[in-house]
Amino acid sequence: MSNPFKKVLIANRGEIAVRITKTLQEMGLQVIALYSDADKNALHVRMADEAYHLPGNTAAETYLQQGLILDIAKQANADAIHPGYGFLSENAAFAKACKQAGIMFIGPKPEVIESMGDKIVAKAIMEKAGVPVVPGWSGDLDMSKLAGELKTLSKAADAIGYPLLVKAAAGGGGKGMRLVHKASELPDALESAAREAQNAFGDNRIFLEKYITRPRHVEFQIFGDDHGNVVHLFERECSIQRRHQKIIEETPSPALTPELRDAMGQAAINAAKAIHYTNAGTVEFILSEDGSFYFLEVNTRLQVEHPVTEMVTRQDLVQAQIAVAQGEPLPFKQDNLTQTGHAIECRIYAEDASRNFMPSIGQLVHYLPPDGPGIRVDSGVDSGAEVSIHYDPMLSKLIVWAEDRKKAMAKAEWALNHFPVLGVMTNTCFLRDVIKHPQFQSGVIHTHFLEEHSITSEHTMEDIPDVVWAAVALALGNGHGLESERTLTHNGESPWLLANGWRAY
Amino acid sequence: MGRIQLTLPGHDQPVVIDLTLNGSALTVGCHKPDTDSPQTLQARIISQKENQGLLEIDGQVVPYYTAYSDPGKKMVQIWVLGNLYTFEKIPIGAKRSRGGNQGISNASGDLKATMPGKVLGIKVTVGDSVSPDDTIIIMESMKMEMSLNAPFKGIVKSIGVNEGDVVEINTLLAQLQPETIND
Repeated sequence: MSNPFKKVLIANRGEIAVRITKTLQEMGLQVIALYSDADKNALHVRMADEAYHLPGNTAAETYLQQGLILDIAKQANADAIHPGYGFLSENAAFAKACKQAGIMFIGPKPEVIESMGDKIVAKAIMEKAGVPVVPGWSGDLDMSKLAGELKTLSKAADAIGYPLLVKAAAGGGGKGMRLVHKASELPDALESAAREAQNAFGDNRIFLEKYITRPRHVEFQIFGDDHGNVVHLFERECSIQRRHQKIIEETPSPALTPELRDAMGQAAINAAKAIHYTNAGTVEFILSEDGSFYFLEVNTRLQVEHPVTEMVTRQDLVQAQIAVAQGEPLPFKQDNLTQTGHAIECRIYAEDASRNFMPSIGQLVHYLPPDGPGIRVDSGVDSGAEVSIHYDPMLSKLIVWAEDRKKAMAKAEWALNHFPVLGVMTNTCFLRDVIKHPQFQSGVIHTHFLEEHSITSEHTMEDIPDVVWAAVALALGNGHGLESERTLTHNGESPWLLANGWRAY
Repeated sequence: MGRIQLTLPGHDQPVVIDLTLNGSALTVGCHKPDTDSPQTLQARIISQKENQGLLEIDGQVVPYYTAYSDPGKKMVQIWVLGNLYTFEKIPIGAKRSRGGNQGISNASGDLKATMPGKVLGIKVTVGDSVSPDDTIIIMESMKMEMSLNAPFKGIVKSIGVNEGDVVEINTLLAQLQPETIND
């Protein structure tokens, strides 16, 4: 029951729209792009076969306009919509609307998106399917009468063990969350968490969860089709995070033994089967220092960090997404999938690492990604592009592949050292300094790595080498900065005209 | 034949760099603050275009790229040897202007945008008394929220923006008047 597409609309922007466009065009499909006012001349628009305008600039006005996007898809005769990540990618209502309009939504079924979007429901489904979940307690309590409920909660807390987390049922962004080290701290933590949750969400329900110290974030790529096939494409280690945002991802994880990989891979497959998962998805786990792992959530989309999986498995995940969406069986079987070599991804953000990672906007005067064997850069911009305040500050992703982790780190370091981006500030130097850190090199990483090791790429007057001062003086001597630049030299020539090129051979 | 003074933004003492021409070779004298004598380097310009070039400094081949981050071309961004730096040019003979651009200047009570973005919320009205760390304005840029807080105990003198405004960096958002003691 294969139903080949001719035209696919990409409901996204930036690097992921560009990356998807490449594969679609390679497969002989027509690509329809969308653009906001600010994205009129963006790379993803210039690459597409057709492009349609979404008036406005904010995400809500443009890339989140479900009705408008569906109308464009119908008008342009799109067979399918690829949502990328973010925006509408995990919006069950949109997936449902696509289905009703007879346009294939490239992703899992709307019901799956919906059930996995509710963290408590997802946890319950996985617990029932035998997937390990973080030990905890949840129940219906009237938190306004905390004194009466304290006994129940203390008993539950003792059963979980300390340290533990008090979390808000409606929580998000760390609001209503308290870390409790010992029993005596529990009453205050419960009261303040419930109060904060009430203020923030109008819902004071709380639950308790075991606190995993120095956890790793290890996720498994899963893939399913309409023919009952489910596979995993191994793990991605995503422990290097800043403000809960992944910035460096790699595969294989330095923490997994072959046995642990098999166990976690099986758990990921069990999770996928429990919800009859189709298309590409990710099962996220927390891995504790003692090797026990717990289900965190299922991301029902193609992840930002999917390229590291592509590098080690030598598969094109977008191509597989199209195949599955067209009703074909998965192009790979578990037994054929291997993990070869080591891949690392670094997310390049327009931000100022020396000023508390504040977003940096402006025109990209230079954008010169590195190139070479084993180096892939998924870019959403090119030189001359305008980086605006409206969207995510991620400009691109640098992905490197080498035979082993040590060589991959050396390649990432080289590539980050050869990635000039000017006009805005970027985090390339910061990423390089993280990779060069001895603890990162040894593979001992966890989600609090960046808080624990204060890595700063800030320069001081003293540590700037003389060669840099000389270079900037010579660079600015080029017709601008020097006080007496117009002074003629002894032979009447400016030194900048005397400069010879390379010696000719 | 030429001199330039450079600092990192927010630093008081510049590095003074002198260029002299000896035949076709350039000598670079690099005088850092708090040092007695300048370091001398030999340089050659291999090629140079408007905002990029290739240099040879003490035998090392050094490609560079530049960009100005302000219209007045006082702040220059330079990418050299894998690092990106922002330098401020200090005119010869002039004293450095004071202070960085850290959003709040404690002396004046001026609350300025530390990043370009949108004003999400204004938490005070003119005449309000505020304590240190009270949130005055919430800004959003590129999906990141940031609150700008009062640096001292005082009174809100003026508010220069409305909710929903999109502002440039360093836009004056609000002014606070310090509460005078024994008043």
